[in-house]
Amino acid sequence: MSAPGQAVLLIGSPRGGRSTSAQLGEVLVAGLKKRGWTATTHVARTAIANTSSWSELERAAAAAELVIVATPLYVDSLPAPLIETFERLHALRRTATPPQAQRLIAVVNSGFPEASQNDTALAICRCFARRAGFHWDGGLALGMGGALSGHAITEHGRTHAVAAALHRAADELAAGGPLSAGAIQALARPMMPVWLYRLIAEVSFRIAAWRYGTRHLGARPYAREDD
Amino acid sequence: MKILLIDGCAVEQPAAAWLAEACRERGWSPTTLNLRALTIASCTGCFGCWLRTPGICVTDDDGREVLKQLVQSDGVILLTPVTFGGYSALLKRALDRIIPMISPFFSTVNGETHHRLRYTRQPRFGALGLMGDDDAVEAQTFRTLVARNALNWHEPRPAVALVRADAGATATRATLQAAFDIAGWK
Ligand SMILES: Cc1cc2nc3c(=O)[nH]c(=O)nc-3n(C[C@H](O)[C@H](O)[C@H](O)COP(=O)(O)O)c2cc1C
Repeated sequence: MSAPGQAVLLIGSPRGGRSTSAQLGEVLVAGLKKRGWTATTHVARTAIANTSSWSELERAAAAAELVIVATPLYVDSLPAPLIETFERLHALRRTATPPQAQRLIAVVNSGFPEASQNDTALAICRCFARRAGFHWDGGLALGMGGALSGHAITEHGRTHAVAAALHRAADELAAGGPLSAGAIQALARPMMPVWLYRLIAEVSFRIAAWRYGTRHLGARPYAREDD
Repeated sequence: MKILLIDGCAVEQPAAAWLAEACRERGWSPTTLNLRALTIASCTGCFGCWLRTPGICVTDDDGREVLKQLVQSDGVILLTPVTFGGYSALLKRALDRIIPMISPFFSTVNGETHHRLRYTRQPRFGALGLMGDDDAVEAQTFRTLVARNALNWHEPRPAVALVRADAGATATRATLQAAFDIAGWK
C-alpha cells in the first residue's frame, strides 16, 4: 500500500454539490480518506466564474497526487464549464509542469441507461490527461444516473452495488494502482432493467411537469411555418 | 439549403470564411453565428427547457437565438478547434443549451436509448474540426463524438471534416467537399 496522498475532486456538474457526480465523487473520496488521504473538492462552474475559487483549484491541482474528475454526460461529451477548466489547466501546465508524478481518473454518469454511452466523454478526459501531463489511471462509467439523483449512495438497498464498486475503486487508487477492469465493470452494471428505468424516468418527468403546471410537453415554439 | 455555421473558435480563424465558401460552392445559403460575439450562459442542468417552458431554455440570453436559428435551418455545421478530441468550451456552452430541441421522452436508435425529436423536421448535422497537430487519438475521438451526436440528432449521415488549423484554403475546401460527398449532402 502506498503512503496516503492528497486528492482533488473536480466536479463537472453545474449542479455542484447536489449532483449525482458529486455523490459518486464523494464516495470515492470517503474511501481514500479512510486510508489517511486528504482531499479538497472544487466545482468547475464556480472555479471558472470566480478568481479566488480558481486560485484554490490551481494550487490544489498542482499539489495533488490524484485528480478525480466526476461529471455528468452532456451532449455525449463534458459540460462546458469542465471543458473550460481543462483548457485553462492545460494552458497553465504547458508552462509549469508540477514536479511530482500525478494521476487522473474520471467518473462519468449519464441520463441514458447504457453506461457505454459515456465512453466518448471518458476518451476526452483521457486526451486531456495526456496533454496536461497526468497519468491516466482509468475511467468509470455509470448509466441510469437519474436513478441516483436525490438518493444517497449507501451500502444497503438498491444503491449497494454502486457503493461496492466505488469502494473497490477507492481501494485500488489508495494502493497506488490504476482502476481494475473488475471495478469498471462493476460500476457499469445496470441498476435495474432498461425498460423499468425508462418507465420511471418518463413518469417522473410527467409528474415534475404537472407540478410546475406545465400542460404541453411537446410544444414546438420555434417551428417553421412549413412544419 | 439554409445552412447555419456555428463558429466556436475562441480566436478568429480563416477556416470560418472557407467553410462558408464551400457551402456557397454547393449552392447553399450559409449564415455564420460567431459565438465570440454572443452572450451565452452555461446550462445549469435544471431541465426547465423540458418541464417548465417546453422547448425554450429558462435562461433568456443569446442561447435562445442560437436554438431558434438552428431549428429553422436545413443544416447545421459546427466549427471548432479540436479540444482534447472534443469541442471547444465556447462551442460547448452553446451546444449544452440546445437540448430543448429534443423531447424528454425516449426512443430506441441502433439498440440504444436516445430521445425523441421535438420537431418534425430536423436539420442535417456536421462539423469541421481544426487540429493543432496530427494526433490520431484526438482525431478519432472527434469523429466518434460527431457520430454520437448524430445519433441523438437522428442524423443518419453526418458530414465530418478534420483539417490542420494551418492547412490553407484549397485543402480545407477540398476536405469539406469530400465530407459533403461522403455524407450525401445535396
Ligand atoms: C445539457 C444536458 C445534456 C445532456 N446530455 C446527455 C447525453 O448526451 N446523454 C445522456 O445519457 N445524458 C445526458 N444528459 C443527462 C445527464 O447526464 C444526467 O441527468 C446526469 O445524471 C446528471 O448528472 P449530475 O447530477 O451529476 O449533473 C444531459 C443533461 C443536460 C442538462
